[in-house]
Amino acid sequence: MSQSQWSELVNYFRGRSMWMLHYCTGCGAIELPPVMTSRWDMERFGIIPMATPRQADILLITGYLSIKTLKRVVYTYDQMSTPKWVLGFGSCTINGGIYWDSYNVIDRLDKYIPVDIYIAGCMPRPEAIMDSFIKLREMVQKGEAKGYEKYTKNYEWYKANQDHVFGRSEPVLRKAEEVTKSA
Amino acid sequence: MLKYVKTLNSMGLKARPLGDWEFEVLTPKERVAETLSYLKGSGFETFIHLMCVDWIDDGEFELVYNVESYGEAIQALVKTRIPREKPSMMTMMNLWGLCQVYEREIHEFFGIKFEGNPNLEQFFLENWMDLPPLRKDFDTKEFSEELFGFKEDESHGIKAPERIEYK
Amino acid sequence: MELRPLNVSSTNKRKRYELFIGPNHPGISGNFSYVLEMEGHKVADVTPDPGLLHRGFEKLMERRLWTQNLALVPRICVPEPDVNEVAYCMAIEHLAGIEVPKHAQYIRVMVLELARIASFLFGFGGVGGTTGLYTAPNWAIGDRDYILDLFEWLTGGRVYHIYQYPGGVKNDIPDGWLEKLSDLLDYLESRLPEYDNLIFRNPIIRDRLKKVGYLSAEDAIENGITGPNLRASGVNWDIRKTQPYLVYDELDFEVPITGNGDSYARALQRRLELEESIKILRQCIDQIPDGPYKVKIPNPFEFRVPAGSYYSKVESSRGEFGYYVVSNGDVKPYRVYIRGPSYSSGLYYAKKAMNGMRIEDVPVWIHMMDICPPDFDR
Repeated sequence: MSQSQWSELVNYFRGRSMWMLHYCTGCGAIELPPVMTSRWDMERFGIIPMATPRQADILLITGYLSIKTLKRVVYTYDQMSTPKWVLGFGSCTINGGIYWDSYNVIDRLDKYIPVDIYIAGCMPRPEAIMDSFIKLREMVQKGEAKGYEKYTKNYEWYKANQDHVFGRSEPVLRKAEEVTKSA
Repeated sequence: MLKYVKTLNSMGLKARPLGDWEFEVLTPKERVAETLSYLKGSGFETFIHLMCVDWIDDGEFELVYNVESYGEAIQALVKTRIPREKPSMMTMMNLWGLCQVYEREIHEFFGIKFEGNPNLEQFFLENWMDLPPLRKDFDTKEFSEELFGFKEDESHGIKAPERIEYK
Repeated sequence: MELRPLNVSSTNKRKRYELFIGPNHPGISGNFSYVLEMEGHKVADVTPDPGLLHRGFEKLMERRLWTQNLALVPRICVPEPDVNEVAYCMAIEHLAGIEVPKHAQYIRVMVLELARIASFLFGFGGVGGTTGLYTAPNWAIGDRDYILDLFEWLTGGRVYHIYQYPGGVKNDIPDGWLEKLSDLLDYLESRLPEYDNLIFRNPIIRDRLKKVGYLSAEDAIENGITGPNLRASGVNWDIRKTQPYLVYDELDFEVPITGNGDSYARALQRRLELEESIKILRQCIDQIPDGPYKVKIPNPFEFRVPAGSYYSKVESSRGEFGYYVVSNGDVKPYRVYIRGPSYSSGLYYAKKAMNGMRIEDVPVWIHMMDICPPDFDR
């Protein structure tokens, strides 16, 4: 068996058993129970919720991420073992959505972790979630979903973006003197 | 409800009904504790919320204590104004322990210091160094653009990742 | 060498340890975290760590028009979004002096009660999920989806409806919707005995939930616990009865009081209230009068609410959901404060309740108190 045949076989099986990390990051988590349970039943496609990041393959970002959550998501993503895929769920992950001007919600998820598939809408219907899972399966089986490789290759860039948010040591707006005055 | 409004007015406070089941009391800062303990003693036992309004043009913060009486099915909004410069207020924790979390929240979002509250650490936000965000002079749009903005050329001196083209 | 006895720890130095429950944990009801200080398997101290869902709603609402905010408010409480819209609209209507037509008020009551049933069914799933009975979520969330389908037909949205509008609702009930609703209520009623057998008469669940997290009536009043949790402690208080809003005073329903104050009473309280909600909906179907579904407000871009402040509240499936709205007569609200029902129980009372609780009871307590993080994180 040649190398390419071997990886084709591996990709086939990878696409058939994807475990999704059970992390409800935002309001999109409300559409996951219907997808997980009897009506849509994602277990048909070999996708089950998993409680621990180390055993999970899919990180589904369900909606907006506050700064505090983004930090946990980045930890979680780093803990997951490759191959791993990120699904951005809802318009908030694409451009901030309805929270585009909020002081605590990030605007574009792709700056901090690589996203393989975006699901547009607020909120996307369960059919859209199922559709994206099937699309992801196709991409995995073809060996196309390579977000994690992009992350390792451009780690410095992602890290710099993450540090820009987490590693603030001075006020973002130039009103430092006012802040110290009021404190 | 009218009897409370009358009693509070006779105490020298300004009270008036707002709706069918709520009335407001305007008190000076020093008499908030007195008013609230009077209300608590006359059946207003549940503390519903404490919130703050930033009246930037008047240079004042308005604090609103909302307490409810289950016995008589009425709600009282106790309002007080404090100056915006170096704002501080005494804690109401000895009346309702619940005030601790509300005061902590208001300290975080408005920068009001509550004297006597043991824990006023950051609560909802992390590593926040700007103006307290719910103040009127804090510009959330500018902040968001500055911190999370779409800057395609933002590369930190590192080559940005190339787009993966999917067929 | 011999094995040491099971109850003796090998190191006595580190008796206390820290345990993070959440945000990524199946036992927590959302993106929220408790830092538990553990002593063996018992909780010694709790530090709630909120803010993981903080979006700054109160700031964003100051930047948008009165009617634009209607798209924002439902996102504050995800499992039951309609209470936000109704409470916010009620505050605007009170300040602007808008009289809502009877027809629209009935529609509002129907939407609220349907949302309450959906939220209770979601809660049944939580009962099963935390006790390891995975049939319950499969049934309850499946049944909840029938309600979401009706919502979709009525409003166009499954989860967020954005259906209320100052002065009424956005569009009228479509033809055939009421009949379908009536069928659904029959179906839900036929399901109730099965839920009773599966969850509430199940001896395992009963033993598991009883005596967990006892809350006395005095403590509930003192700590600002509202809604079903308050009634489960034996306080007869329901805003729909005591300070009726909309048309609740024209409807005939009872407020069940379980009164034992433990987790089982809180679960049962929700089950009994679900039956009353079905009763209310049936009456609405019969009694709904004809008439306009809204009064038209002037140009929404120029819609100004007269200066003033008002606290409006709605009985949600978790407790009192309040909106304190301040207007200075502008096209945008001056300040909106949202009082979520989980605030007092999740952030303050948890510290007292969980003290000495065993670790396996913590998720049970969280789910039976129905702590919904988005409504205090805002």
